[in-house]
Amino acid sequence: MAHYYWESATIAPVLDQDNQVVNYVAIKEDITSRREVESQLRKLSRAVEQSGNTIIIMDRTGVIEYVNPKFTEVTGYTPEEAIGKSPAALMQGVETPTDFTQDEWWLTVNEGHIWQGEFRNHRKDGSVFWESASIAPVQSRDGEITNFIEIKQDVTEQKVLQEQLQKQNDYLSILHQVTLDLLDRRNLGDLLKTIVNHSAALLDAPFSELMLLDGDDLLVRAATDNHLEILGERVNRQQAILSWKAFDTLQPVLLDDYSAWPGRRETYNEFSLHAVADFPVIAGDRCLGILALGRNQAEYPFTPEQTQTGILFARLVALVLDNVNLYDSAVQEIAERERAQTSLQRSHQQQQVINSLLKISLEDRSMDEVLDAILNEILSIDWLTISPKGGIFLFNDQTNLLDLRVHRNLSPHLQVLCSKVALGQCLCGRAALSREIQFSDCLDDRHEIRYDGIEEHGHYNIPIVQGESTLGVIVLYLPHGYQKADDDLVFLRSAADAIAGLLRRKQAEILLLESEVRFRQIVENASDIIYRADMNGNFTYANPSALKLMGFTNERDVVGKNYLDLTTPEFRNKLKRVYDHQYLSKTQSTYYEFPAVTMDGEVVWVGQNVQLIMDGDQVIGFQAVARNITQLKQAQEALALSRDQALEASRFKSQLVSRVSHELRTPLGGILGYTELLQYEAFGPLNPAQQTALHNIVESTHFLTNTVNDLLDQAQIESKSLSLHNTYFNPLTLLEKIDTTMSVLAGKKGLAFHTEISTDLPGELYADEKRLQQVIINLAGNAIKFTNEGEVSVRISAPVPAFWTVEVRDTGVGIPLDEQENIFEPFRQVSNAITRENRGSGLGLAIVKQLVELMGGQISLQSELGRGSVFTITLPLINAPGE
Amino acid sequence: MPNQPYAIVIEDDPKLGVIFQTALQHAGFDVDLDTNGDKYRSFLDLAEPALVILDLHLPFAFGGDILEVIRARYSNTVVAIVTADLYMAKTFTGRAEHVLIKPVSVASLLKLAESVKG
Repeated sequence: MAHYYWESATIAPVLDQDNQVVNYVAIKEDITSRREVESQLRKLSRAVEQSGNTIIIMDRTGVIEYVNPKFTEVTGYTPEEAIGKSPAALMQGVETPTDFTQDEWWLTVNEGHIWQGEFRNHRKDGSVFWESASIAPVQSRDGEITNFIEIKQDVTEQKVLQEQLQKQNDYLSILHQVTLDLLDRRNLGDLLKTIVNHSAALLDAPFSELMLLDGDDLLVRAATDNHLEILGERVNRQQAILSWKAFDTLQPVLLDDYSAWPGRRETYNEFSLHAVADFPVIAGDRCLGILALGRNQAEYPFTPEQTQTGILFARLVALVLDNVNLYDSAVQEIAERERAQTSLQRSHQQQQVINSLLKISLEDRSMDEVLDAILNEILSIDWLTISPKGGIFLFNDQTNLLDLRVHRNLSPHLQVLCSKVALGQCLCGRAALSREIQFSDCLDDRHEIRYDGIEEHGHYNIPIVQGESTLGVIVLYLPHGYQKADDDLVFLRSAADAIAGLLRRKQAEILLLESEVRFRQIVENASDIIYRADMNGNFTYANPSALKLMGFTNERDVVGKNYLDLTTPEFRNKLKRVYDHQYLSKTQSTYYEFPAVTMDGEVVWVGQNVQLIMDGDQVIGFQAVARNITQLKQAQEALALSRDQALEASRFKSQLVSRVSHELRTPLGGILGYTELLQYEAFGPLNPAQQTALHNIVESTHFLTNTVNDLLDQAQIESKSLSLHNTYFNPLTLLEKIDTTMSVLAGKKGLAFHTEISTDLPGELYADEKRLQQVIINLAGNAIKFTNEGEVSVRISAPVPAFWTVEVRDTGVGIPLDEQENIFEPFRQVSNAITRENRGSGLGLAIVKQLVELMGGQISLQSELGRGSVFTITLPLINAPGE
Repeated sequence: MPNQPYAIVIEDDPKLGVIFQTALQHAGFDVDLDTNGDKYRSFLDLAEPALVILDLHLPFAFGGDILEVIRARYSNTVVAIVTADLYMAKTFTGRAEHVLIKPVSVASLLKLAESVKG
């Protein structure tokens, strides 16, 4: 590229001796740079005048010598106003000292360097603006500083942008931090803590708290470390007026001097706050809470910018909280899902154990084998962190003690000490008594059964209860210091329930088995015929007696046969009717007799009780207990026949007796009547011989009459047609009557006759007086008859309660021992006692005995030959029915 | 004898009938005897008897019916039933003033007669 340059030239001719121009000499000077300086000066001068920058020229002392028009444009000051003043005095504002001699720029330029920096200045109208300035010293040729030139640019706009950018960076950084914290946080508390710390730093307020809406209150969820004591405080609308105002208006609420404000929140009193700001944390159109900040420094209010920052930050908080909510619910859901899964897994495991418990086979196992299996099952649960040690007790109804039935790894001491445990004793006894699981994590006071050197351990003692009864206790060993888990308890309870059911079933099975064995033994060995039939009447079971009766040898022969096939053809319909009726009417039990035909064709009478076998309200079969009643039937028939015959005979006898008595009595009446009429001399006077004859006739007739009467009594007693006519009577009166009658008889034989009544006898007795009189007269008559000297006495007394006696005593011949037992039989008389004088029908004592027995009494005899006899009648003291 | 009390004996056995009649006459009664059970109505028409000796088994009548007739007509008549039948005796106890079981002794009859005479 070709370059131009400027030259200054001087051209002169060179002459030879002849003055002839031989050459030209040109002297040139490059003046390019000078021309450039000149041009530059021109340009500079124009540039200074027209510059977009403010240019100030100051003298050596910093006083303005020149300002360009831009200065006036920017600051509003004219050159006349500016010249002669320092820029600081002009623009730094009244609040700033005008001495700039210590300022950095002044020092810099005075050392001959160029200073670059920014000023915050005031225009003439007072408004603030930022200028970027470059100040350079102007030096003379000898290096002396003569002037300073300051070139400035209004950078207010950049400055603002920059500040905004800075703020944005801050937010971003905080947001970033918060976000990081959020990602990193362990819990919401941490996050909220981060929020208050950041807000405090950002807004230059040492105190910050975050309150979130909780019910009707604002709840302090986070606070800066200086006032952690307010965490958890609840404030209502009256307590925190400013916060609630911000909450309601969705606008920040500021107060410059809180400590002077009467509406202070009580808890803030200690804080000595001045400027406070409450920022609503708004998500959508909803206020979640309040971010409140406070400063302790007086006269340091929140600026509009800070307020704006607070608003923005509060938004950020809302966003974060929103995220937190989302995150929280997600986390919660995950946690819940995990929990659900864990609990599902746990419950699945538990269910498996319980299933295994329930599956423990009861069949063909003894109770102890079942218990052993249960213990094994429980001790082998891997997720239950118990020691492989324990046992099962069963409650013994008889002894009221817990019996250790099975155990695993118990020390020999404990096997003995715990073999029987009383209710309420030690942990197992307590579990049984309280019916609650007992837990211990060490050998505490409740662990009463112990021995020297027993190892530390804990227990679960689980009662096995069903309904009202405690069946037993399971004891499990736990490591020392074991933490009780609710999950364990829930599981152990349900396991205990399952075991309770198991044990109940086993016990029931044992009982059933025992009763079945017993029952089977009874049935198999019963002499009764026992069989079962289904609802169609086909035999399903027959016991050996049944088989034997019907002539079967094996149960198979009869099972499946119908009951109707085993009766006589003429009885089939009857039998069917009876049991169809029982089936249809569901009559529980019936009795029926029918002839059965055995395999040999023999007819056997069977009487059977048939019971319905029910399943719910459905009849599913019949069960019969039957007997071979053939003999009974025959006996009954024979009995019926003989009864008929007896009745016939009795009727005949009664008729006969009636007739005989009538036929005998009537002629007796004739004999007696005429004889007596003769005695009364109705037909004329009699001589003494005739009188004697008549007397004998009368006596004989009386004797005959008595005999006939006795016969009739005996007949009546035998045919049971004699009945008693009980009334109340005075025993004394009775005795007097007897005395009157018998004294005469006794007197005739020269015997003494006494009667005596004891004072312990009631004034009235209830009996058939006439028959009683007959009995006593009969006995007394006999006594007189068989006594030739001495006396006969009758005594009535009541020697024992509820009875009374009549004693007839004589001093007669007595009755030989071998005759005594027969004396009360009809027509029996002591053989050698019958003389001409003491004849009788031979029925007297028989009738006496039977009458006494009819009265419910007894007669006894004590007698000694030659010494006399005592007949004693004992009768019950009775009252009239209904008394 | 206008002051004599009146008695009727209704008894089919002639011997007994005579004995009763004689005994009562001996005791001072005016006595009519009906031995078949067909004459007593006419006797009852004659006067109110103080005493009737009544047998139950009669050829033409039943003593129980005769008792009803007497009861329907006279209220002061004492009736003494005489029977050898103990069942009948039991049946009539309480319906007649006296029930005497055969053989009836003259002594007891005289005692009865005295009690009726008062």
